[in-house]
Amino acid sequence: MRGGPLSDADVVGALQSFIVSSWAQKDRKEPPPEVDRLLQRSRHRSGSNVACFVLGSDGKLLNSFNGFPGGTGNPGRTSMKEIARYFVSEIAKAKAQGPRRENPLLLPDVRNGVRIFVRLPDPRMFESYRCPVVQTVADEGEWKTLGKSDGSREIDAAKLARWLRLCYPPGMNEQLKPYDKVEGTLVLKPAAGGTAILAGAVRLSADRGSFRGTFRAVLAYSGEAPEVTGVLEGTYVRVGSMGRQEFTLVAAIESRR
Amino acid sequence: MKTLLALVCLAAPQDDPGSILEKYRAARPAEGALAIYRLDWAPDLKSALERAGKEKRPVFFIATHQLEDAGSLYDGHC
Repeated sequence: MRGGPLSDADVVGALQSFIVSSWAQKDRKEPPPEVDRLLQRSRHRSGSNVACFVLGSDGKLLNSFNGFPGGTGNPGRTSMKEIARYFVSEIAKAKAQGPRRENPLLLPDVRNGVRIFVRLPDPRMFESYRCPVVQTVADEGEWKTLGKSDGSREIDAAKLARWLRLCYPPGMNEQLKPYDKVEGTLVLKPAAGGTAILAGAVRLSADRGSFRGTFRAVLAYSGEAPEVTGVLEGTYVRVGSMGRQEFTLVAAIESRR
Repeated sequence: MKTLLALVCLAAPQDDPGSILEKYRAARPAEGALAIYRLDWAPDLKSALERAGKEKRPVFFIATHQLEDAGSLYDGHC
């Protein structure tokens, strides 16, 4: 859904006047009342576990439709472009009124922390798997861990676990939660121009997914906290109904102020 | 970022931070891949409806249900 219609230029264009929101069931918790009311009204027509709703500014339901065309729940049988056309058509059916506007690109952001982009650039996967994850993590001691030092020193990768555990791929049904374990040793080494290099091998693991690779970052020290620009690269191992599969995974990590 | 790039230009020959930054740039998604963030997101349906009333704008809402667990459409683990 995220890597399909919601990333398609025509659907984004069709939704320019809209306020967009989503709800996803977690841990079998009941939906909030306002969501439950909508789900009750959509059951007769939904063919999958994804239901879409177009509501007027007064909250009136104008249209609801299955998240996949043709009453199916399998996005693999339909191209993303077809799904996008279906979305544009269903959104138009609602005849929702609202001022046209051009929204700026507003990425998830954090005032003092890092922003992480995770991608699975593997041509074997559906397009939806290749849509990036974007997450933010506020600082809770990571800057102190990465403080400037005169010589080289080792840093336990677990000290950056709050960043690294989020580097799991989008769309993996087997892993829907962060890694449980972060292992590895990173070396922080002063470099020219007041910078430092942080580099080392890391292993991240969860019940049904794991990652082995390297984390490398350039750190600049000009204020109270280092400016971090880094990349995690390696192999994600998925263990599920299709057996064991390996994919290249990359993550870009950048500090935010 | 500008400070960092300037410092890296000085440091590149011996420490090779340039290659790290190059990999970072390659790993960071292009703007086109982030189109989902051109949508005007509200954190939940309740706040979307509150805003809709004030701003006279419609709401588009997606619900994913009947799963043991599901991620978030907004951040991408879904």
